Amino acid sequence: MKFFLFHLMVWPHVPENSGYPQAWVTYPRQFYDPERGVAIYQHYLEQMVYAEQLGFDGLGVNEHHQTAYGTMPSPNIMAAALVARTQRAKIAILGNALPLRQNPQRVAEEIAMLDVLSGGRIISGFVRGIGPEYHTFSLDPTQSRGRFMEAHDLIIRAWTEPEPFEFYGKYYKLRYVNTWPRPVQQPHPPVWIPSQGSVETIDWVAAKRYTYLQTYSSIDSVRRVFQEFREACQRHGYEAQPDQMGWALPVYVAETDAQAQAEAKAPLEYLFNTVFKMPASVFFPPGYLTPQSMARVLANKRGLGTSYLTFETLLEKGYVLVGSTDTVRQQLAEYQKAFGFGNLLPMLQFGTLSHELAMKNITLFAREVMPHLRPLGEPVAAR
Amino acid sequence: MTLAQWQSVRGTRIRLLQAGAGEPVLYLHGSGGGGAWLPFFDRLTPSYRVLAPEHPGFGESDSLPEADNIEDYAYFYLDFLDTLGLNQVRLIGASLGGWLAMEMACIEPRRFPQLVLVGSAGIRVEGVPVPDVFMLDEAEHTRLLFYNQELAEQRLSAMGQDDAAVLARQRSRAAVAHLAWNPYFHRPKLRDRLHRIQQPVLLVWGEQDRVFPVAYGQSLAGLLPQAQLQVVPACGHLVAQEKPAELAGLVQEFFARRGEA
Repeated sequence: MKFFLFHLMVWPHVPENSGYPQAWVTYPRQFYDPERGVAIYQHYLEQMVYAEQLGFDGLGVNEHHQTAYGTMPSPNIMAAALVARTQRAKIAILGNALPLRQNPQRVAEEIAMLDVLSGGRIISGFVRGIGPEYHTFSLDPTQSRGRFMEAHDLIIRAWTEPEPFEFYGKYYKLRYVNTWPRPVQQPHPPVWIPSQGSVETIDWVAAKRYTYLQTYSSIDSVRRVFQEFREACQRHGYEAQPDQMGWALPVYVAETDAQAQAEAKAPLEYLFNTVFKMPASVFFPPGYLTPQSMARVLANKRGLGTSYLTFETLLEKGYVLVGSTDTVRQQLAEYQKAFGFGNLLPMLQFGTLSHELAMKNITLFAREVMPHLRPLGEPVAAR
Repeated sequence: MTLAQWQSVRGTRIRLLQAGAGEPVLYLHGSGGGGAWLPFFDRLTPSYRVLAPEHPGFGESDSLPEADNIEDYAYFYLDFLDTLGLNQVRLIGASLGGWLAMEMACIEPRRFPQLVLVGSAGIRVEGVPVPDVFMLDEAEHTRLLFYNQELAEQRLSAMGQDDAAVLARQRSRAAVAHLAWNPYFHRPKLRDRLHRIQQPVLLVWGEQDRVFPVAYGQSLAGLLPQAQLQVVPACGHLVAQEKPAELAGLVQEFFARRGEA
């Protein structure tokens, strides 16, 4: 199994009863304090660099806009900062939200630049951006999927075709596509697709043989989605490989179960409620999901993002893993055996978790959990 | 007697309610959706043939997947009228439907002898703030539409909450979002084309319209060469639902004037 430290770079200073309906879209920017922001970025980057030193395979950055939930509107800028500070780790960019770019050529260029700068360490995520992003960018949510697909096709061609070409799509009409530089990894950097579990996305990722990344959901949804992904791969004529499946979720380990729960409770409740929760009209703008997916995603994520989730619920439903190193190690081993994923993306800093506790969490996870799980989820024979 | 039927327009099938006999009146519904026979239509049917289609993408009507914006809907309804062989047609448009009526009239001004625009979308008025209805949930949105909040509560309690009903409303909302997300319920070009609508226009506005305030009606009255604005007291955005008798009276009187001219 491969391990990626995944970071949201949350803003940890939203008051619990802020008086605002959400920490997204219209949560006033005056509450971002740049003086504090300097130290917060430094701490978060320090955590990621430290993770590489402890043997993590990679580092994951993320993209959200106009929100305290994550202060990384440009994941590529943070990836560049990490490229300069690390030597070996893969950098998974989860981002980029393709429909939000006026011209997707910019994504093709920036990822290629990062791949060359890092000597081929980039994993390129492609996402649509979640609901609030469509309010933030005043972008028609009904075009989200169409723009995503077209931008994806454009970027892959921009990375792979040797000669300049004309791209004539519905959304993007470009006379000369001729992206310089070219990525180091050939034919192009690995593509990962984070998703909320929509039927169409699962099938598309399977067809493309990309890596499917399940973002935090209840354990029942995670189980079902990975099962559907394996079935989708079979429909497309092959067996899903472990490295095609990734799971991102908050993880907290401590000396004992009780201590872990005591330390993680408030930071997790902050993450899921104070900064993630938003009105349903913002989370699911009209037309963002196809009708087929709407019912599904609502069922998968019932409560997540739109209603208050207590720590006990988060733990019980498996949105998060919290416990002693023994407990978490055993749970992860069981889940790996059941679901078959080969990439784990633990979020080891989340919410208001202090730098000190985050560093302790990273240390314990790397020393007490990671080594035991390494042999799991590796292909037995060469493909 | 209202006759519900399916009407195919160049392969797109939409639901159409119609009744009455006489010169045709096309009613274009707003973003809340069509599909219902409005009580004020009954005051018109003795003298007019009222056609109330359900827009593509709404309710049970087919989608119009190639449509990018309101102009495509305007051309769709011009094709609709051609298909039915209707040449001279009076238009009534509410909210989003008013915007659509103006778009149609700018393309073929001589086809539409009279227009009635009720709480119409279609322009942006600088300095007059309007709420972002896409940020509201269903209950907040419904309450915003009415002056009389009892009517809002009635409408809310009448909404089906089973999966099929919820998905149907979401489909209509998606159709609205596609037309009106950005620019918000207007097309900047339209303002500069309204001079083409030389025919008489009746603007009807609820005095307490909180979706597009009366200032929008006043602005349109200044942009349309032959427009008169009628403000209905104690009424919100949905004049046809909140003050049907007043609306019917205004429309009858306005339509009757054509014969006199």
